[in-house]
Amino acid sequence: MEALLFTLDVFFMALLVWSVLRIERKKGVEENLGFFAFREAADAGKSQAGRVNKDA
Amino acid sequence: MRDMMMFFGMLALVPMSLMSTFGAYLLWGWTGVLTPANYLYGFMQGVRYNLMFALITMVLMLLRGAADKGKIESSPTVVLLAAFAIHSSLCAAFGYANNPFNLDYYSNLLKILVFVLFMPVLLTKRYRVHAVLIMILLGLGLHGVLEGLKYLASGGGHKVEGIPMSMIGDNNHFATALVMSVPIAYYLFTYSANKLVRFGFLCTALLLVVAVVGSYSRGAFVSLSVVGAWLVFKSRNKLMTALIVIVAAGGIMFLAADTWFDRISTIQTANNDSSFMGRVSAWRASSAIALQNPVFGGGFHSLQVGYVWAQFRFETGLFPFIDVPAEFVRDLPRAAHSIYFEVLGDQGFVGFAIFLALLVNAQLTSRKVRRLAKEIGSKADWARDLSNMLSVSLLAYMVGGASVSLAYYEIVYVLMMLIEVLRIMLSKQLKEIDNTRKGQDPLITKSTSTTKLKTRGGFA
Repeated sequence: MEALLFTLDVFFMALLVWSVLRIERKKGVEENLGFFAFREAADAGKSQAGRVNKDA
Repeated sequence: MRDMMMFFGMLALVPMSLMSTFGAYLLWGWTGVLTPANYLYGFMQGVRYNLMFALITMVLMLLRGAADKGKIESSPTVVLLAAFAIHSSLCAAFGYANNPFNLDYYSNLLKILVFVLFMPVLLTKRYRVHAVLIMILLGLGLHGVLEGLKYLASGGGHKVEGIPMSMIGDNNHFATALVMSVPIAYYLFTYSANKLVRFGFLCTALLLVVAVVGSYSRGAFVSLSVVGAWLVFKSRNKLMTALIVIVAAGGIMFLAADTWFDRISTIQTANNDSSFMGRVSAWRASSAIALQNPVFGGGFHSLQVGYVWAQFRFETGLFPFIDVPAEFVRDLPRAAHSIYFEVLGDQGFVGFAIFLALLVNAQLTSRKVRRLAKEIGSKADWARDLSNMLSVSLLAYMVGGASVSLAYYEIVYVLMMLIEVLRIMLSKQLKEIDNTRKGQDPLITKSTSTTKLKTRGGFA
């Protein structure tokens, strides 16, 4: 279990750095983190809820 | 096997870090919090990952800077951190001699402060702030998730210990650090777009709570209760937060072993508890060191040096009114067992004042961030919520830290600077909004805040 979670941790870190690279290498690409993307509003009831931020 | 995985991971991570200063910076932070050597047993164990990524970041900064680079502005946070660094250097230089802990703790603190001072330069956009939060959870959260799972798998029999070779080696230190990361996991749960990621962060938050319970730490339990109450109080979605807190509390009642309840119930009888009274004797001795060395203290963890402990262990210091029976005062040196008394003994009253000012300043800056976010409107809701969560994390540290020696823990300073970074980002955003409005309305020339602009716009 420890080995699996450790491996997953390394994988997710690589994915995070790759997402950062994607933003910084390609100008004009949406400034969000792909798999780890953030959204605009936290409350489900709000109009923007669930939408990935496109103008951060 | 793990070493092979790490080897292949590094084959991908090192080239990626060379392509982006911020990417290298993330890996610098991650390796610092994760301490990968704890999970490796073969040929990859001896590699100094943290040093490697720190050097890559600094060399890249010197050679080509960073994309969208910010700058270090003079602000109370930066000034206080610089003052803390300078004063720590003087304390390390003028502290008691023959202290084997002095240089270790001092150099660690300096490394942390260097890492933190890079933050305003590199964290100029929201995705970078978000990435740093994920990095903290991937580093610190892994330990908590693993320990939480072990506790569940053993049916409450597993005793959660700290992470060897790190500043959170003790179970109480570890539990306090975990409590601090719960609000971060909760923020990432509420603000992640991907449902799978959201679910992952929710599970992480709950497993962190389980790991705190499994540590049997009374101080961490108290700060966990504070975090629970504060989350409900401060959250905008109170119903959902309350539901999660109730489920977590119910889970604790259901899962915790009888021995855990026995341990926690001793909070009420602390006066007769040898562990607690031992701490009080350490607090008295720390304050006595500060009274004797009010400006520079005794140096980093001088209380743990044999001859210093022997000199001060029966001193009453600032607490002549607290009686500690002689049987509770150990012959062997012990740690300060409180962030406040740790800094007081190590760095005297001056260092203590700077440390307290840092903690208070972080809360005040967080309040400022919330005000700025309110002025900007719904676009800055994320910053307001994040500032709330960071404020709760630091509050958990201030409560839980009262009984552990964790004053120089890196995450604390990272959170303080994250709040400052949010303030800088929102101030810039507000200025841009002001400028845009000024450009649109030639009648408005001198207003500086959107609140004023809105009012004038209403009358125009």
